[in-house]
Amino acid sequence: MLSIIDSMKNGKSIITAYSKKKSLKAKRKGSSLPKDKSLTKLELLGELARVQKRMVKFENLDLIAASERSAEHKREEAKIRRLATVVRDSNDAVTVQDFEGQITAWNRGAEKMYGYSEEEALRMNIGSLTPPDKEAEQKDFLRRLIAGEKIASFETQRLTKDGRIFDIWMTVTKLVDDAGKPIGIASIERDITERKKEDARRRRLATVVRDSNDAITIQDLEGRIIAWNRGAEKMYGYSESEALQANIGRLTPPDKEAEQKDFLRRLIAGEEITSFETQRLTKDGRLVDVWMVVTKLVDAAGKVIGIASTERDITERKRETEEASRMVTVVRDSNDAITIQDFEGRITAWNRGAEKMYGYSESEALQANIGRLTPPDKVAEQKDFLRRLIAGEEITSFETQRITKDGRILDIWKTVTKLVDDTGKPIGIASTERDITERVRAEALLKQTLEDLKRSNTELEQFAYVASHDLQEPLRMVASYLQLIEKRYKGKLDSDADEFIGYAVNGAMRMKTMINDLLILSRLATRGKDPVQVDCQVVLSTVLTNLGVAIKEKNAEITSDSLPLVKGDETQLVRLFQNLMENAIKFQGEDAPRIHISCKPQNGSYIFSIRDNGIGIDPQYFERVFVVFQRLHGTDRYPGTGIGLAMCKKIVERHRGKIWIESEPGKGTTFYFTLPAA
Amino acid sequence: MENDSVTKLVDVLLVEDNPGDVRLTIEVLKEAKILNKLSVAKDGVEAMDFLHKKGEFQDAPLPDLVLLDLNLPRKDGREVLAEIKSDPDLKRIPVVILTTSQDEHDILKSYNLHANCYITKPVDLTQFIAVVKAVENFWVSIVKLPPKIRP
Repeated sequence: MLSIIDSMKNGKSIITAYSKKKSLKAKRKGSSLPKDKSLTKLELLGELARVQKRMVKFENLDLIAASERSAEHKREEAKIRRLATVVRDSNDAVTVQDFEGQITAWNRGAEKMYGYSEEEALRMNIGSLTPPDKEAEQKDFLRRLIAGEKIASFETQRLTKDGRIFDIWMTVTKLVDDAGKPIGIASIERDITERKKEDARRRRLATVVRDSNDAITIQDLEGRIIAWNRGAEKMYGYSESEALQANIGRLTPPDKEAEQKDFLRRLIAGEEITSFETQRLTKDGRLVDVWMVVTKLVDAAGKVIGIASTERDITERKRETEEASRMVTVVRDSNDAITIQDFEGRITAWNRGAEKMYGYSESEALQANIGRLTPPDKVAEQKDFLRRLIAGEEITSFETQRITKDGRILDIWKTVTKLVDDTGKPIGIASTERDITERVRAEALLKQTLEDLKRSNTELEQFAYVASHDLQEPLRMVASYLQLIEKRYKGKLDSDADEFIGYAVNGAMRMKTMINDLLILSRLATRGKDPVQVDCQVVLSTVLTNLGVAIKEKNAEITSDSLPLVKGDETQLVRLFQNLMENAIKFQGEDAPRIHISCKPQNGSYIFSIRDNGIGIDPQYFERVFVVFQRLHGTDRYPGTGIGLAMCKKIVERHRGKIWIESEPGKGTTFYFTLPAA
Repeated sequence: MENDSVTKLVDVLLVEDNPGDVRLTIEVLKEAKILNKLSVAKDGVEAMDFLHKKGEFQDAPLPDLVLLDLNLPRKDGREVLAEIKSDPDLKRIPVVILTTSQDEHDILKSYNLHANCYITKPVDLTQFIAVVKAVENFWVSIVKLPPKIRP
């Protein structure tokens, strides 16, 4: 008994101790029996007496000793029983096998784990528990154990009665008898299926953490980085090894340092901070907007020892959000009415532009149907539009009308977009409506004005035509018959009559010229030709031919730069040059007329100038000379109708040019005008 | 030549609504000392009746030359011109447009309708005399006219 206890105290396995106790009991039984058989009755009696005497002798002492021994024994027994119970009831399978694999012990844990009762198990070989693919391993294990190798524990698999294979952690002890001869193997087998699952789960989590796109870091309270995942490597550009030698401060942009310090202070002070938005600085100096989720790491005593933080790059999301919110603001504050309606015409969105334009507040509008905005005469159009849109027709924008809360009709330009849900099903119509009432009104006014102008032009042309035919006819009668009278009766009446007839003829002739000039002027615009390339050199020589008589008569000297090609109406350009040169010759000063024509390019057009040495024009008349029938001199001195420069102005303006004068009385005149280059 | 023109009287039809102009033309012909047989139609309808010998013009001669004004009452000169030039019996008769109009459109349109020439009446009497003389001289003395074929 003592030896059992001793062996227990010496730390040997419970099984071994238990087994020894059993074998000891067996030994004692065996040794006492042969003795009894060999003794005679007398000897037996004598022996008994001796024993009795000894017993009496030591009665008192024995009694005390026995009782002591029995108490000690009881305590040991109880201890062993407790241990046996522990072994028996352990959740671990506790088994013993001999070297042939025969199972010799089987606890309740084994019963539960493998499904075999103790009775079944004790008739079985341990091989029944070995899955086919572990047989080799099992044999090898046995061989090595017998060979004396020290094998304490390892992981393997076992097969249950109902065919399930599961993972176990096995701790083995070689059992030896008193002589030290190996007699079997005790093993404790623990079901580690759950633990393995947990391990796998942890490994998975670790992988997730490692490979996360979020930066996951741990820092101690001094800010030293002690963990750095791949997400952090990618996000901030520092490798793990770089990061682990660095301080978290390196990631803090200068303007966030105070915030970071404050955050640490508050966290250590015990404040609950779980997540917040901040910025980080990458290795290459970029600023990254991050959403940071932090977890305080505490030691066993509850003291904060570090901070784990998960940081997500929200730069893009922030940008999108900002963009979206800007768009929302744009939509909300747009002066255009932006609305959404479903296919029943119910209004589901209504911006401020719509409020202003139509007079309904958002809350009023959201309870209303779009039909309320449709003027009675546009109801059919609106229905047709909806029908066509639903039918799939592509309608993007059109002009229509809307009626406001206070009953005003607005012209609008409407741009529509069909809204679809995720599955592509149409769910409504977004429309942007612009108030074009003013534009439409202005356009109508413009159209009206244009029509008026056209009519007035036509009337003017009609007038010119009337002037040419119906006024010339009576004029010709007057002039012709006056001349006939003059021809037939000159000298037959008195001298007064001759003089009067003379004035009458002269007046009729002047009137004829004026009517003709007026006709030409009015036809400049209406009978103008489309602009073509015109060589001004050719124009000039035509004019010189036309004015040949006058030039010769006045002994005029005309010089010119080389003249360019322009774009225009040749007939009119001849008239322009001719009128100006005619004037230059006509309004002659004291000397013979000297005229110079020059030209220089300017911004895709040419500035022409015709300079003379004539009588000049007082600047106060610079504008007036271009007005039709305005004359600065009496016809007796300088004949003319006063229409020549008005014609020039009209011709230049028809060529989208300008005409102006530089002159001083007595110092000659220069006419400038611009014509487009060819 | 000159003898021919003197001996041979040419029939001229003047289509002119303005009596002043008619008289003036007659006076100018007198001034120009040109002797011709001049008939006058006061408007387009009368001119066509004359040419077709209708009504009062049953005995009218087919003219050798027509002097045609453009602006006429009832049927205007352009229509008269178009009718003459599209009539197989009349189209050979030379038509001289004698008008106050200087309008390019009128000129172009007249030639498109096969007018033989276009003359704007000068306001000045001397010029007018010269023009009438020239016309008479050209069409009566110089030009060989087609023989008159009676339908």
